[in-house]
Amino acid sequence: MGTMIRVLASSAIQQFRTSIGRPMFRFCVVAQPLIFGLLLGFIYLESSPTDFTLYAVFGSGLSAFWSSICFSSASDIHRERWYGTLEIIYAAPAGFSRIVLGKILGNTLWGLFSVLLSLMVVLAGFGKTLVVARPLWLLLGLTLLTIALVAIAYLFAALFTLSRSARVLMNFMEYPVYILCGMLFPQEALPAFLLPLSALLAPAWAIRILRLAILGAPNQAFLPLLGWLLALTLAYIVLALRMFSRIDQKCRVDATLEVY
Amino acid sequence: MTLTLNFDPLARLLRKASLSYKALFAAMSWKQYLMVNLGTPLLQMLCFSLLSRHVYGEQDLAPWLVGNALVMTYFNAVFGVGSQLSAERSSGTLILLIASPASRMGIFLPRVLLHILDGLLAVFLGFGAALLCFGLSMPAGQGAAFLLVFTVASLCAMSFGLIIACFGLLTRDLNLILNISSMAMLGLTGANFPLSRLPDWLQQVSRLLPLTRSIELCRALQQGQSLAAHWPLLLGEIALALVFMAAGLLLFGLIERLAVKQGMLELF
Repeated sequence: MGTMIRVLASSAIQQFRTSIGRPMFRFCVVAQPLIFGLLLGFIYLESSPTDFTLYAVFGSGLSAFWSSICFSSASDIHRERWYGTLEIIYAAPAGFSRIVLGKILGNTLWGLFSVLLSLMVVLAGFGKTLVVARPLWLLLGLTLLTIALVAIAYLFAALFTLSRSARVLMNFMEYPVYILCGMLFPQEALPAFLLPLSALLAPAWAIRILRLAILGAPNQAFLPLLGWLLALTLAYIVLALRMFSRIDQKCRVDATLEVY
Repeated sequence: MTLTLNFDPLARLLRKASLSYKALFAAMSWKQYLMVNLGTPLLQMLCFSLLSRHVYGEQDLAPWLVGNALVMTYFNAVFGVGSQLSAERSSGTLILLIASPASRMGIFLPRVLLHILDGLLAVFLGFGAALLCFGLSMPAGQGAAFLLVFTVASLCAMSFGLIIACFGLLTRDLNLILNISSMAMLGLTGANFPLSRLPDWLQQVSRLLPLTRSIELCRALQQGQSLAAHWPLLLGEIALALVFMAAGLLLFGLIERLAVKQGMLELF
């Protein structure tokens, strides 16, 4: 257990320090929340205070958070392959899946910074106040959302280890998650045929919790959402771990780790 | 084996245009090409159209659908034309390009050609999605006017892309510039909210960006107004395209000299 925590912490600290050196990552964690925050702030300027809080204040930060998580889980594998270091970390005794999880955790810290940054900039820039009826539920929702996003990133990282198209896929995945999870507008605005897909995404349930927290729903309204969110997050983690173990076999048989 | 040289300027222009375009996407499969080139812009358009429907309501949706469909052309401008020189650097061919005796205009301008068509295709796709998914109504008999505005919009956006491309000579990682430019075009062209909500100085900036006038013009056409009533907007967009093109060529010359002097061309 101690070794595992040490590996996770080392990988996370290394990732936290090095990822911000890349201009694209700086865009994701600094420029995107600022620009997206202002864009959504102008769009929601004349909407209700709850819509402004949820979608302009939190939506901009959460979308930047997703982008940084999505780009990190996908492009870090791609980058290691490009540098020729993927095989080295893959074969490291510390364990490839732990190193990858550490990388995701390192980037998650920057993602949380994005949420805070957009929150401050949008509130200060538009002179609005935060309207949250149930702050404790909001904090719980944000914490569980973070864990759900880490779980998704972990699952994607496993998939991207096998794919040479990681870079293309990660660009393609950004907007579907914004849309299906209701990060920028309520899930009720989606066409009915997309709702089942939305229900399969854990962050969508977390965002429903945030919405209820902002609107001030009673405790019992949160419980089914919490159940779905926890069940799906757990399912992602189990699936990701199984994928990593299957990938271990497949990488050895196909020998595609170095194929660029 | 015989080697045939083609000196026909038009054929040469088309060959340069198709080669530079192919070089950008050759490593991709068809599936990847469609995902990058059309899939992502389409998803962005659908996302912001759903957002607009939630914020402005079904009744007032048409202007925002038009804006979001037209703004799709910036993907080609920024990530296609804008990343050309950066892509040359990645494939190790930038120094060959700079050392070639060909005129800078001959190197630079043909690269825009296929992207203009590609940008047009993206706009058609955007309007198609707006018609099918959101029931956007288009006035009859305005097809030629729309086509003209789409073409001018695409030309103007690609000319802007030439300016962005120049910075590919100076930096190893153009992604920051590409993404900030794309966000600026998404946010400041009036595609998603009324420009009157912006502070005065940002409204002035939006007038200097491609697509702002085209979006305004397309909205007028969609409401059934004639192109003749808004010709200053069209002329303004054409003038802006010419200014961007000239500025791109000028900047290319200046930055090329700077990059050679500072030894930046092979920096990778």
